[in-house]
Amino acid sequence: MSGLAMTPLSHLLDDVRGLRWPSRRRVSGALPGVHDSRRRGMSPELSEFRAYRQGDDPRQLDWKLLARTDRAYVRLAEERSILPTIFVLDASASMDFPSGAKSKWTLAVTVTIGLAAVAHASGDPVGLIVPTASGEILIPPRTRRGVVDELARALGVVRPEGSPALDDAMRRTGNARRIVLVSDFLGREPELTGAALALAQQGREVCAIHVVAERELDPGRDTRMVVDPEDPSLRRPLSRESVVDYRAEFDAWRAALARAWRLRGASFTEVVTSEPPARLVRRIVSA
Amino acid sequence: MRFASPVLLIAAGVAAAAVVVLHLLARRQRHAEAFPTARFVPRQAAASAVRVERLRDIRVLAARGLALLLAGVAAARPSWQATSGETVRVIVVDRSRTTGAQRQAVVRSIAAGGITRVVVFDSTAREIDLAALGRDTAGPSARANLSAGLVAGIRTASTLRDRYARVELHLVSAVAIGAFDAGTSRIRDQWPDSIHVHRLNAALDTTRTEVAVDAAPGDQVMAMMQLAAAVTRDTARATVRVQRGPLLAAASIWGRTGGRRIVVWPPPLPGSTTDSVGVLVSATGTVAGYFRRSPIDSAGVPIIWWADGTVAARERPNADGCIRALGFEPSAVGDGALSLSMRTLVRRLLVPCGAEQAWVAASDSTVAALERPPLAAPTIATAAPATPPWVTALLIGLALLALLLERQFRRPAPEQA
Repeated sequence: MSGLAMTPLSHLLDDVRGLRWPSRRRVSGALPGVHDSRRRGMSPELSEFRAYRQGDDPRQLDWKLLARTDRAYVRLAEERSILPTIFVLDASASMDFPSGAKSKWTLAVTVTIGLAAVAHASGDPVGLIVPTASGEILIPPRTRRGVVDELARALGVVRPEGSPALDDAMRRTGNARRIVLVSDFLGREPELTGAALALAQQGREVCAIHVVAERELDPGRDTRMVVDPEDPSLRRPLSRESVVDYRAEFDAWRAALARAWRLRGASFTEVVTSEPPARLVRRIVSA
Repeated sequence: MRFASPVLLIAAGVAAAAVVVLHLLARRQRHAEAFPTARFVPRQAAASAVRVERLRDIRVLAARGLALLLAGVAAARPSWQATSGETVRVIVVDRSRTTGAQRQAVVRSIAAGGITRVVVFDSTAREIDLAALGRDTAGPSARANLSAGLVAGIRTASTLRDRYARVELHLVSAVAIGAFDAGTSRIRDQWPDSIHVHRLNAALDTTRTEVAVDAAPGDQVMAMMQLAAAVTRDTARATVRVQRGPLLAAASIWGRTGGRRIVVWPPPLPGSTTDSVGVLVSATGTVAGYFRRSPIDSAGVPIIWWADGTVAARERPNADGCIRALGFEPSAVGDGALSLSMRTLVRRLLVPCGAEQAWVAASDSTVAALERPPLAAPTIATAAPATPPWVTALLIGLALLALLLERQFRRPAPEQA
């Protein structure tokens, strides 16, 4: 797991143990899990009695109730199902900021591992898609033991660089019912929003996690030339005079971004690199 | 204004220049910082930000340069006195017998139309008036001590540097090798500027020593002289005259000019004794043999001694020349008079007046080394007057103030609401 420190991850996994990450809506999966299913079935957990209708399975008849009341009732129970979850991570160059252990990429990986551990502990299959400059890393959602370690190992070798297309990756999420997008949303933003809308219309649960660096919120007042790492032609002088306008513009953009994603039915959470990852995971799963 | 350590001032100037160069290089190579949200920085702020940054850069640069220069000036220990705009010449004159009368003409040509201080030296040095130079005859010694002359000359010149805009140090000498000693080079380095060396022709030409011997052809002294030097009958050409017998007036007159030497070597008196084994000691060596002792006049400085300490030969001045009186006679029996050690002793009798050895001119490279300024700064003779403490404190305080200003200029201004 090069590039990721094992000890902080171990602490994180200890901190998030016991958490549950419920689905925001009833899921339609057939396999038994912990999330409320749209189906009503035969589980021992009684939900309600309904009068027998032609076509109902006779095995669902409550015979004791029929004997007492001489009426035929069908016994209905709540079904629970799994929620296949796939994480789509943004490994573009802008995520490698600020460089070092406090980068947005490090936080994105840490939060992803924490959320994957929470989902996997609930029996949900977890998978990963990371489009990178050198190719795509794809781990389909799985429930087997050790899949979280597999995710961590796969993420440990990724170096954020270039501008890989996230929207294409989101369209290749297969049968995953919960798509977790971890990104800074800098670049191909309209395409990404469109892909999220398409997924939401398919009834999938889209969870957006916006990673923001603390230095992006407070860039300081030293005058310097700044350049977009994904677009070297974009060079602007950042000074203490312009930082006020910068902050206003950045805040407005973030607010608009959150509003747009929420309007499309996605959950949207902004995380800042200065926050402890365990707290972030708790905040996301309880959102 | 003078500086005790101008090198430090130069170093501070170089450091300030380096700061400017580094500043310009850093400005030229200022790299852009990767910033993912650069797109949110407004475009219109570019020009004003660059202008403000440039102004702040100049103030920071000026404060840094000023702090360095002030610290350099304080370290260089400045001092100042009211100075005249004139040039003064300090002429160090070799008054040994090697220089002759030509030195006076040379000194006067140097001193023409200017402020002049004259220091004369042979084995010792002293300062005299220029007018007194004509009355100053050559010293008794043929050997000049250049170190003594330079010490006195540099000391005089150093005292004048505070009062005159320019001080020139001139050396008038024949510059013999024997004039240098182990400390001459270091003493010369105490004068920070060049020394103008006016080299005289040596009054003594020891390369062609011709001896006129007033002795019978069969005399052993004649044979000894023929082995040691070129013997001539022409007394006008000779620089040494050996007189076998009492000193005559004509010979004495002959020897008064041109540094000529008269060796009075009388034959032994009839009653003189012969040492069983006599030993003669001189600066050039020791001779053992059979000698007869003769009494000699007590005037003059001893140049040869018997082994028991009594004087065997003396030298006394004779105007520009000298007279050497001998009180020994080699035995006519045997060839001891022609031995190598005896030949060396005889050559000792022929050297210039006041000299113990033959005069040899210093090489041109030695003279050039004497002329050119030293590489390292002088430490002793040219030390500047002390800097007033309040000046040092003021300079250091200003340097600290410049540093504080530099910190203030570097600090970003408080953000406007």
